[in-house]
Amino acid sequence: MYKGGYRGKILRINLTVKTSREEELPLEVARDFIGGAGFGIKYLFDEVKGGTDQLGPDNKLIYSLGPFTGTTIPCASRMAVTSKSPLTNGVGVSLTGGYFPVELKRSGYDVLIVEGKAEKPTYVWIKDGEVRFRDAGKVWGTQTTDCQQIIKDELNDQNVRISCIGPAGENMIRIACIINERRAAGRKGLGAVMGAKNLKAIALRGTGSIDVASKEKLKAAIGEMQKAMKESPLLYPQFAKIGTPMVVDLTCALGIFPTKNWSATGEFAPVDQLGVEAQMTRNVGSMHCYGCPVGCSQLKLAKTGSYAGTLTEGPEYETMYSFGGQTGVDNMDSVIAGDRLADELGLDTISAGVAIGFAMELFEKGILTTEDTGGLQLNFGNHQAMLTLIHMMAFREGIGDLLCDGVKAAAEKIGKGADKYAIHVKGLELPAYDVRGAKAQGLNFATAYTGADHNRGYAFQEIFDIPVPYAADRFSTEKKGELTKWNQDVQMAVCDCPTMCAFILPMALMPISTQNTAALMEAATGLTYTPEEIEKVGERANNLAKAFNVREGFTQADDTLPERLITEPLQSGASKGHLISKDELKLMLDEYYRVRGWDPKTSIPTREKLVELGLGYVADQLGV
Amino acid sequence: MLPISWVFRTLRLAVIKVKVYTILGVKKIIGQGELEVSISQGSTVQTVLFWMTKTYGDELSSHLFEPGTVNLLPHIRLMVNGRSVRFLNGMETVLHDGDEVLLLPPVAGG
Repeated sequence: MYKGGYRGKILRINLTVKTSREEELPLEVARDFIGGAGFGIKYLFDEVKGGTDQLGPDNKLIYSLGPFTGTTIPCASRMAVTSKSPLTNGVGVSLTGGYFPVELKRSGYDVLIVEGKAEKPTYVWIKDGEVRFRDAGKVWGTQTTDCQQIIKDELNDQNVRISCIGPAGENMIRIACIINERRAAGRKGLGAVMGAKNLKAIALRGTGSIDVASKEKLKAAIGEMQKAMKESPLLYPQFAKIGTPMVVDLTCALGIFPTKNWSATGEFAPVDQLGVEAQMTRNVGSMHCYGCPVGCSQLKLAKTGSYAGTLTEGPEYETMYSFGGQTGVDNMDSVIAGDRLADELGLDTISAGVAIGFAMELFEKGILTTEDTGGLQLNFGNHQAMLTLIHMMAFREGIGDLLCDGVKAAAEKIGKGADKYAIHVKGLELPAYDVRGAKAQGLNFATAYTGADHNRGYAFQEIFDIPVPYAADRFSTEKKGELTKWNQDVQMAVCDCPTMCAFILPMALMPISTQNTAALMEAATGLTYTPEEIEKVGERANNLAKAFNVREGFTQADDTLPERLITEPLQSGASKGHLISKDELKLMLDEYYRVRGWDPKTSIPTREKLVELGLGYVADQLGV
Repeated sequence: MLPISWVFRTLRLAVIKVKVYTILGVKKIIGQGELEVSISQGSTVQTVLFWMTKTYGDELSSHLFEPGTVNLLPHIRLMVNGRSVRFLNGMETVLHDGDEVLLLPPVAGG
């Protein structure tokens, strides 16, 4: 019996036969996985069989909320979207914020599972539990802003919240994202799954209320959280005004802002062009997710050239890297325009930018020529070419068709040694940290269940110098296995499952993380946990995600880094001379597998570990 | 005010030069992101910080130190040649000619 936080319901929609049904959310699933990414991983493992075609009707798209979403807990309007990733072939989890998550909770559900494939373009309209399958012919081919507006007009309700794809998702490009409002479930190609299902959008309107187990306890637990937020020297004084792009200044100073396809990190550090001072000349306002007192998302307006007048929510730090440093572009307005264009067409900005930078390096090395590019001069820094390529990828035009399924697939098609320049792990393009100067961050990229993903086990200790649970020398391999496990499990348990904004953890909650989550859980849901049990939830979800990948054929060899990071030391900047050598990576991996309780040779979780986590049935399936 | 290098030369102290890099709020206060500091051989990170606060005044001090003390605020980050002084000798880390000091206010996000 649920006392609060949860609605206790799963909505299952089948697009093939146009049916929907409500199911009870088992209390033990809530207890063991809390919500969000935990639910996504649980239902993905249990319901999507090994070997399922990512773009076939048997793959599922799972929207899942945490028990904090829609309560008065601040910064908790978050949602996980989970599927078998068309980009990595493993678990694809991507989290997004905004208002859609709360609307789903108000609609009466903790989990929405989309199955099958619609016969023709469709959007699903859910109003307080009433499900309608509607013809999406009118919005098929539209950009994401237009799509949302047309659907709102059609439904005659401007307060409808919509999750949708752009042309990139419709064209099933494997770096397509899902957009709600102007937020993105950006990574792992989940937009392609939606497109493969002929599902253009999900529109929601919910008016239900969300109860909590104890208002008094919740007030006290939120008070603890707010106290930590107010005491942060960063959250309100800086982050609320500048947002994530301030990290450009930091990583340039640390010599780890990756540039020119990771060939010029430290040497090309465009802090004057893309850093905070330059950004503030373009800021015109900020946006808040539901229930967020911070409002980190910055609205920027391009001012110069043909980009003048383009407004975007962002670009976030990662996009400053992907459409800036990574492509050698130091023109702020083109990055703003690229961000808006990618959001409208529905591409993941990180993977798109990495693919463009990859093509630029191949062009400069003569591996790609103007014959391949259709005449495009793909030199680093060519911002017009960058914008053109974003468009070409979304529509699978020309060389865009080669790049739009990610750099791993592109390198395989190109041959000629192109794989040496493909910056990915498990098929997922690397985010904005040159981990040659941050080794736990590198170990996280090598081992995260989603592939190279900064949000699944961010090494705050190295990048931001936060000494919790202990300080970490970014150039050392010492205790990095243990640290990475802690980061992955705690971030899963504190942010990705309940669901809580990942930015609040490093800026305010690190010292009280699992303790505060336990207090919030008890107050919101009535379920009691010790801080250790909270961490265990994260460990359970990470092990189950790993098991999914093992079932798909991933091996220890997939826990690695791009060759460049292992063989080429950084040449300039504050991390000059550093890399993660093969021996160092092995040393860290050995420690990581040991502390995880995984077989060090195969990286497969041991039966003992799985049983300890209550995942005995998973051990049976894996045959361990 | 006499140039500090002149003082060292007069006192026959060996002089070393180090570079200090900073960002965001601290950069704004000192008006630049990079400066070269001449100090006597054997000087420490603390020497550089004290020189900087003396040069740039109370505004910088309030950004770096707990009020009325010489205790560095816990979120201020100091690095020498890219490595945190936590893993060197803290504020007593001795600097050498050509060293690069990073003085970083708190940043997070990303």
